[in-house]
Amino acid sequence: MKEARWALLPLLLLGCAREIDPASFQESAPAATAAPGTDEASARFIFHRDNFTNLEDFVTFQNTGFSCLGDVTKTFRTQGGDYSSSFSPSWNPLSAIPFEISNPGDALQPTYKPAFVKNISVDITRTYYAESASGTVQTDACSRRTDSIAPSPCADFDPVSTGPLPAPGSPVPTPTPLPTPVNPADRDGLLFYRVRDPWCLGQGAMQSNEPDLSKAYVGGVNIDLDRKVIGGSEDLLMLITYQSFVSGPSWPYLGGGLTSLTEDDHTKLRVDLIATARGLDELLERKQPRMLGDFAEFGAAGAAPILIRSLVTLEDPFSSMKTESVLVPLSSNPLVDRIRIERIRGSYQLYQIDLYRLGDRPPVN
Amino acid sequence: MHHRLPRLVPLIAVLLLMGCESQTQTDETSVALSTAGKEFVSGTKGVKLNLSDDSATGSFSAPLVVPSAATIPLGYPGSGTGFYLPGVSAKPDKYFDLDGVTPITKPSWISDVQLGVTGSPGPNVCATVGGPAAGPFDVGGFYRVSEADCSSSLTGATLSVPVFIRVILNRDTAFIGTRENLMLQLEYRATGLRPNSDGSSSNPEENLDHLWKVFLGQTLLSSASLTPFSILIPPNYAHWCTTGSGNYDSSSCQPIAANRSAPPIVKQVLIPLSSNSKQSVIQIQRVTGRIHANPGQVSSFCSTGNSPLCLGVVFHSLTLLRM
Repeated sequence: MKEARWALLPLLLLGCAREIDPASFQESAPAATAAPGTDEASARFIFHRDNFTNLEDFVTFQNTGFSCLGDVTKTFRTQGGDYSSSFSPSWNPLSAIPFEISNPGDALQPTYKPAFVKNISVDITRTYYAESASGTVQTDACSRRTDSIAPSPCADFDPVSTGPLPAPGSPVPTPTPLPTPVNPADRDGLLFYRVRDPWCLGQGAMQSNEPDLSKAYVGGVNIDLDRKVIGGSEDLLMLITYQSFVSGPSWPYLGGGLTSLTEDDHTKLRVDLIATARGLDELLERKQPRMLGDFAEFGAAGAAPILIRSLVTLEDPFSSMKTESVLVPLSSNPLVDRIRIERIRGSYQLYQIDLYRLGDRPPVN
Repeated sequence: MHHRLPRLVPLIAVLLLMGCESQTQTDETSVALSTAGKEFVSGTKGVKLNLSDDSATGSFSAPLVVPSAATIPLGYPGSGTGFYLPGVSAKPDKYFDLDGVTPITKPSWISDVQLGVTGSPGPNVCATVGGPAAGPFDVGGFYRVSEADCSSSLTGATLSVPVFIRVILNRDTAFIGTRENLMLQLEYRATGLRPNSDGSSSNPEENLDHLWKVFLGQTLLSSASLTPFSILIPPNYAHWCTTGSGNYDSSSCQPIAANRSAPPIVKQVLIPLSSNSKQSVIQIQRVTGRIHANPGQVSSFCSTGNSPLCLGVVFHSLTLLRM
């Protein structure tokens, strides 16, 4: 930490910092008797590229302003199938395909999310094609290309195209050592949200010559909630289905000969509860990689307000697919409007997050 | 306003009377609804079942026959709509307090707890409960699943696949309140060959040695789909191979003594009953295993079948807590 340098901090604070007045925010806090709609008791988010705004679509179609890179576009009901339908396993009958809440035609339009969810977004570091002019202009509204922050395959939706791949590198200062370049042929192409730790050198907000620090706090997930429609005594159950990458030549490959991760490289994720007080428009207009601005706002000392830090840490020494269950105590603080899943270290692939509302609600009929 | 008021008085009076009457009715309805829809209900809050045939503390008996399709019993979810595939039911007098040894009356909020079996205890049975161990990697008494003996026909995420632990709830709000949720505590030993998967398929689930999920449902109808809720297995808590690659090659896998298999662990699963008042079936089901594709590979490490302690699962207990 002593060596951490806040090279981006002034710049980011200028554009992004925002004061939150707890007193005024308290006035709009939800009433304890709020009774949300009975058809909005739960929601399923499948972190497949088809359900989020991804780079390939973004440069091919248009920037509508309704979503940015990494924003969710499709939400599913928990009463239907799960992520596994994305690869059509033989044991998953057709009737168990995910049931969309959103309109299938609204890939770049505001989606029909449940009212209690403002937005779901993942950090994206591959924000434009560095070696091609094609489509890059359209990504400018969502990327930091104009800030000369280079794209990286650290956090993306696992593209399988053979399109331009940026050379491995990092913002100044360049940490060492650099990872072995990923060979596109080594990419697994499952198209789920994937974070590869070796590529995250220098991508984090904490600019440091210490590799672990320069890689930390990038490749996370923001779950932004609308507390006005969540009862004051309600809590949430969050289920996270993911897989951390492992050492050795096991699946999925890291690529580029990266087969010698040590035990210390095992993935660690952390869940924080944050007060952003941002509206949907503010959330969508923030540039990717979003954690750069967010870290300046929420991560810096004194900047707060992370209301509950380290609610839980998620770790899997066996690096299997797994589901983690997290009880989110929203009722403990009406200011909490973001669940942040922070990547501390390691590589992982995210399949699905389910949110279930617990209590303060009439029964579903 | 003042001029109109006298003429409106009768109307207002009528409306008020109607309102009073309506209010009375509403109150009565409200009382009825309140009774039927209590947020929290008193009574037994927790119960434990030992998933074995132990004569004193076991909640089940070893099956003499494999259950076959039957009409959904009256009062069970889906009753009157057709058939379902039952499992071996828990003995009504073998529901225990949370200490696991003190018998208690079967709670009204549980209709049944069933174990899906494919055969009586003995050699080469995929899923069974009770009886003696049938090999060095088998264990007697408990409900266990031997991956080495589960054929490809036993895979799937439907109610007709007979390898499961099933809890059937009575969601009458006189027994489970509208704001109540349910905590499951599963005590089990899950053992695999590899910590991960072998990369032979782009389907990450298909690469797993075995996959168990928790499903939720509103009916027992055998043709109905189950709603996936969460993954239970993996992770496994012991492995025989140091890497996930290859076809169980001998360079990365070593036969290990049976007494070094996975230790029992307890996993909590919070079921958000309050998010759906009709959710009444909780099914913990084996969805798939991969070893059936090449059983010869597993036999090198797990002898010739009955592999719960080498590649498979042994379930010890199930605790249900209303909260």
